[in-house]
Amino acid sequence: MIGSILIANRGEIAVRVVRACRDLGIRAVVAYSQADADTLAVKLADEAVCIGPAPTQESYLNSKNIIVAACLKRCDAIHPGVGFLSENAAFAKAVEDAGLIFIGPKSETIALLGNKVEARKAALAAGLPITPGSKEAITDLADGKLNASQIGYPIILKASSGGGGRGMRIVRKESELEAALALARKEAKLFFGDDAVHMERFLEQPRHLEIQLLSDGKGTVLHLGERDCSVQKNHQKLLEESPSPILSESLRSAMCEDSVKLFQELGYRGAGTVEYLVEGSSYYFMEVNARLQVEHPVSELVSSFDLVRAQIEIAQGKSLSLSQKDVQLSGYALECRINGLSAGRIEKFVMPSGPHVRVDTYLETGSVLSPYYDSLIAKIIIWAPSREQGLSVMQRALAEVEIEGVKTNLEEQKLLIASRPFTSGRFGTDLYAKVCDQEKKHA
Amino acid sequence: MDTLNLEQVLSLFDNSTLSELELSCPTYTIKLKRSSTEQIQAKPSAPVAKVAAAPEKPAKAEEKTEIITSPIVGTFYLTPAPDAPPYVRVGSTVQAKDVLCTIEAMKLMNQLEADYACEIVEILAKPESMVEFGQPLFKVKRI
Repeated sequence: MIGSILIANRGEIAVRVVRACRDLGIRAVVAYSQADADTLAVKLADEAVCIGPAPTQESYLNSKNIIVAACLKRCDAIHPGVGFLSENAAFAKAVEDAGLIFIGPKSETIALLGNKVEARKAALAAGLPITPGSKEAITDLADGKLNASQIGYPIILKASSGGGGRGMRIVRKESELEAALALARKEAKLFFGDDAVHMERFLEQPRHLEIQLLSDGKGTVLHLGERDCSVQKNHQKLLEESPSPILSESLRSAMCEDSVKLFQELGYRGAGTVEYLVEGSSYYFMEVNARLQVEHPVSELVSSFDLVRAQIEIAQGKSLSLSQKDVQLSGYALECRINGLSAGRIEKFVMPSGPHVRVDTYLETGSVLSPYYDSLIAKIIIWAPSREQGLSVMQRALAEVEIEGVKTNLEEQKLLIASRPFTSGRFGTDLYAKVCDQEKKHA
Repeated sequence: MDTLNLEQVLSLFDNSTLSELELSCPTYTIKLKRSSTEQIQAKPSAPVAKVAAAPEKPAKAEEKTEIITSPIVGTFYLTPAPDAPPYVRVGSTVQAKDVLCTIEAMKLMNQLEADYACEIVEILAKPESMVEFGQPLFKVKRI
């Protein structure tokens, strides 16, 4: 039994876990950095321990101080929240070795899924579609032409040892291949000291969809439907909704079934997400997020599940007593992330309320938005019977928001939600650039 | 050390939570020991506010004191072993690099060394109890 949990995180997610502990009658101990001494999670917790100075390396990533704090505070388990140490296999292992329960997947599962190549292999083995591509490096132009014709244009050339968007070339037709291959090789050699490049199908306007899963590690895996996270800025999610406005019932079932199968094969324990890229009627496995996600409230609102509570119960060894047909997904949920664009003291902080509105935040008037951490200020999540109604509820909620003292993305979010492409549901991951950058040009 | 002001020493001891105190000066040595019953009585009779306020006044009159804080989370020990004498006592002087205490974390005894030569004015953390990052351990005076 878990009587006491150390929460190794901060911000709104630490508050979220404290509240789940409160609901379950579990003592909540919050580990915090010196910069977070006055934050809501510390105030709400039963106890709190300072684990380091503001920089994350010395506090929220300081596994030793966190584990010692959990032991000395006589906690039974550690909840890592999201980010920080939540997908760190070595940390999960150290927690287990200290005789504590890690609220998350087994450390071996985290290690396997953290390796992109291994994760892709596991997905392939479970029969999931992955982005078509050459598994080996391209040897010469003839080999490149053969591979590209099998994959289908447009293709993207990627440096095999690369990352961060460098050494990538998009090729739309065969006549461009020779020059692109030479250039990609040259760049790969220059940036990564290795001229090996491989080829993948290039998706022009993919949607970013993910399936939320709950698995007890004893054979029962449930899915709570999808979240459409296609509205992004520099790969950071801004809006997340469920159900997706573009997903057909047959595609949804296929993706959910595949995700459940993967988790069963993995013997996965806890809450987790399988991310996909979707284009047309095809979907491709991208990765598994072996943890709770920032946007988990969206799935909570459409499924009536409390994901953090479920995580804790699964960590206690409880089996999921429900079957998939007991999971009723109803209505529409949308999350809007309000991010800070500058740090500082918040002089005025008014959050929306009223029917169908949930706000997850850790700030209040007089709080300081710290320059040391993630800029997330609040998550405003709405539920409504339909998408159309949901968008009006969200617009009403955002109109009630007042934040003074720091710059935020509130106005951008209002623009996005009111934009034609978003309301129609037909857009790709480039929506932000189309709507907000366009607006800046006019302004 | 200058000759001790007995009255001041006695009053400091009375207001402290120390169970024993030994001080030497060129003229004499003083040993103070509280009996266990007295200790129980002494605690409630010394309100927190008084203890906290007490060092304020002499601190202004005397030299400035500094606080040494814990660099890690762990268990605070003043002695290297359960039956060994403490590394430092109130009134001890230490040189830079001298060990002040040990902080146990994950079965490792981490020795905390003084960064500069100083006199221990007060021990602020309870021995054998948990200390957090940044928790005050010693009040010291540079020498």
